[in-house]
Amino acid sequence: MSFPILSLLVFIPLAGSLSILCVNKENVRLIKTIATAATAAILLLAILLVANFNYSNTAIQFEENHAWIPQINVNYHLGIDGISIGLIFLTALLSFLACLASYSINTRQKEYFFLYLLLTVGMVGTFVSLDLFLFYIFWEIVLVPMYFLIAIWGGERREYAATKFFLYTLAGSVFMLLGILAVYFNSTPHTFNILELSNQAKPFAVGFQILVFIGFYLAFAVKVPVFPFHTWLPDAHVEAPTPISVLLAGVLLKMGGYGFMRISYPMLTDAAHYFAVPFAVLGTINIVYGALVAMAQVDFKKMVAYSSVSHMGFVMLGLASMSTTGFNGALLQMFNHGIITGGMFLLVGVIYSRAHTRDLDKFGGLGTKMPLYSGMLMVFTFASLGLPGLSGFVSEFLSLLGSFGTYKVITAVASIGLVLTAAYFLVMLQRMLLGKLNEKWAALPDMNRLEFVTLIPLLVIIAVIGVYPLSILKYQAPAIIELVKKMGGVIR
Amino acid sequence: MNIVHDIRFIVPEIILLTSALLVLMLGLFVRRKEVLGGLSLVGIVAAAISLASSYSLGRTLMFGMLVNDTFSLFFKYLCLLAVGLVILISMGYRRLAAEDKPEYYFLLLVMAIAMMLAVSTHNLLMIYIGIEMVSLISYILVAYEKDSLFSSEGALKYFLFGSLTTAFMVYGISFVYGIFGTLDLSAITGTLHAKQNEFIVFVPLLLILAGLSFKCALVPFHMWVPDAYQGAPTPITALLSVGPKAVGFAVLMRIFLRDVFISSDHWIGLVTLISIFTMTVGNVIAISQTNIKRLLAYSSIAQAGYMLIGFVSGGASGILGVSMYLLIYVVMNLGAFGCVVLISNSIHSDDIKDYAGLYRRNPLASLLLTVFLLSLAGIPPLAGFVAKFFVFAAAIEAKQTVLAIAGVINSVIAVYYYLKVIRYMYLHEPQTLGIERTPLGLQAALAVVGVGVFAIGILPFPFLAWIKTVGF
Repeated sequence: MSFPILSLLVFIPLAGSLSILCVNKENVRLIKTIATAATAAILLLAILLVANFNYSNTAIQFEENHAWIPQINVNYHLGIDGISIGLIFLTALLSFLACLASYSINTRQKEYFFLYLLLTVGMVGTFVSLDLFLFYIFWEIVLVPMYFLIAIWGGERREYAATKFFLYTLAGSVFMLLGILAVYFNSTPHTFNILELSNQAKPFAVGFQILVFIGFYLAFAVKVPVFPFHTWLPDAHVEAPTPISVLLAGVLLKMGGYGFMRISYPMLTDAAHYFAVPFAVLGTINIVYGALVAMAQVDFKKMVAYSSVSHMGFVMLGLASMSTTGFNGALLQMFNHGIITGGMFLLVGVIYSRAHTRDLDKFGGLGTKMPLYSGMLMVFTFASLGLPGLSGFVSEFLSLLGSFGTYKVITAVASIGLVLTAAYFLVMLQRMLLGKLNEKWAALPDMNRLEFVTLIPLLVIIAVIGVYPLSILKYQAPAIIELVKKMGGVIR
Repeated sequence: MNIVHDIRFIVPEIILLTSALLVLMLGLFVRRKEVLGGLSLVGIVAAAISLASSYSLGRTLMFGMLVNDTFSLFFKYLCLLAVGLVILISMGYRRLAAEDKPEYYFLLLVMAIAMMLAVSTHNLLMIYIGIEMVSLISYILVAYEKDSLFSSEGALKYFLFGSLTTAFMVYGISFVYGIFGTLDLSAITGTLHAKQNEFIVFVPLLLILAGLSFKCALVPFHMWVPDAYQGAPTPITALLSVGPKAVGFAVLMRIFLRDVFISSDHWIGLVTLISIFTMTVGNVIAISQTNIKRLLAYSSIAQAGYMLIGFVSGGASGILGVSMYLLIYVVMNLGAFGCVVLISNSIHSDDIKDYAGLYRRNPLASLLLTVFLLSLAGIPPLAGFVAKFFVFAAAIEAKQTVLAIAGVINSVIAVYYYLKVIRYMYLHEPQTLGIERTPLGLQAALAVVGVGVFAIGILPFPFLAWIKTVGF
């Protein structure tokens, strides 16, 4: 297919953001229209990609490769395979939905939507680039808009949260830059091509691999986030405006996990095996510790933020298993977490925009007052705590199943996290929806149509994956088998 | 060796000198002093155009006092670019009294000549003369705001420090002459290489390094920087932050990176330490600054530390890294200072606190300053990232892992204070409103560097192809 669909995916939001710059800032309607059109366009393109994607073919598809900086062998190289397609669809979908949710932003809209589309460029670009240099650029492009989006439109401690986010992420990624340079100079011929680096005739020396792996790890672990690099996350999530929290949780966290699967694992196979046990331990810490901390929260949004830490632990655990089942679980968990937690943040935004508080103790009895909202909240909560029949269960189960074959004790400890997760989510539901209605909220209106419609696609996806997991697994499984084969892992 | 024949290779310098004298004399007759800035600019552009035709491969001129190689050519262009942009910025600087303008532009043009001489020679005496000329003019220019105490204080500190380190340098050069019997670097390279571990060679080179460290503002010879930068008229601060630094690095590379001379471990260890300290001191002290010029002063110290990474790494990729970094640094740092001039024209302050809410008063200036600061921080896809990329690449290639790690950690620290300025501009509300019109010259300068920062960042290959040819 010679139609440059991936380039369009990257450059449509860029064109959108540049055209917003040219619009008068009073003309809010036009600005919103441009942003919505651009994100709708990439959603359509993503659907087109999924429709035309040949999932039985494990090679890179929709590839585009042009020389960019020939002196150092940097190429503008895009392409997708089974590992990235789900995440690209996720990015496009959440970008569109969060753009709808952004209509409630009522200050400095021009800057907001300009930065919003710029953020989209970085997110999409990260998942489609197959050249390390290009990957790094997109990876970093995400930072600046995200910083401003949190720092200008965020909550009370927005400056602190935004600066912390920026410094943490940058501190991680500069080490990735060194790692990129190291693999470049140690490969023959010198190349930034991710595919060539992953399929080298002679792999790097193990000691070298371990060093470089640590460099990449620092970048990816901050994004996932893996304990103890997670402390930026609750701050950033809580302070960010609702649509941005959705993208943070839904897409940005996935960049880390994706980095492991696209770069660290295939390129530094020996080091990946070397670090498998630490991965499993860290994943388990994430799961249990994240759940315990989430349990202690009274702020609804902070609770959801810590639940993200817990859920992303399953990704690490699945990655540690070195088996197809575990990898499938990890990748699917990233997708599911994006959908479910994206929805959760939208729901938090709904209640916060009405009540202007997120203190769980101040609510109660909303079930009778806001039936539509309560129903939605329940479904998303159940999906999040891993109720069979909904999507969260499938991926968590696969991760645990994969890792159980390798680490029996660690997996047993990790499953405690499931119980804890159920506990804090159920307590949350009880505090919010059941009990006596706080008279202060007697006049709260239920969800409006826009808010409801925004959640419907997410709901459908949760249900479909929950009932028929093969609908998405068939896209990723062949690529995962390929990856596990390359790594000499277990195919089961 | 025909001196008359050689003259056609120094046409650019002659053009500059002519226009400098013309500016000085016309200053007596012309009433509208703005014309003089335009005239100086014409001189710079003419010199740049004639530079292309005055180049001949690897020739030495004027009895071996000047050398005409790709290295000098590149740095001459760089000097002309820097001075040209500073002239444009000066045309928009409101605090310069009209009667002072003729001498001001005269000095700027002579400065350009001095810088061009210093970078295009491999004779130590000529290097010394060029650098000393640059220094003397800098002292005068820093003190140019006659009624400002800061200006005089800065100039005095600059002068005292400068004289001391120049004395070091001359002392070192005299040693070199005593040991080798010549001042021509190309003649002593082979001998130097053989003797590089001997103490007798170490001492003079250390002294020369000290002298050049002052010009490049490397730790521990950086003390003059904040005061001189704060006191000087802002366009001069801009020039100081790029011009002498480019010259200093050019000369450093010429002296120390010839052949494999700097391969001795002592040297590498020493310069590695200087590099780490320069980055760290610059970045850490910059965090607590409240004046934008002082902040940029410390930032420029730190930037010199990054350039040293390329210098320590050496080899072709080291030279490439430093040259690329200097080109980009000239563009982005002059951009940042141009924005400072633009902003101080309307808010009459260099205090970062007064930048609060600037996005409302002057959206374009705040956007541009943000872009330049992010570029200085090394955020892709801006040019500053390409600059850092190539010095870090040189370090990794030369297996200077410690230095590379120190460099990246420092670039994270730096982001904190660049963000501080950005925070004030975008996250705080303004006290007063009102924008002044932007002078045309400044607009032009900012347009050039603004486009440059994006162009080099996104399409670095033509610049890279050009710099790859640079060598001596």
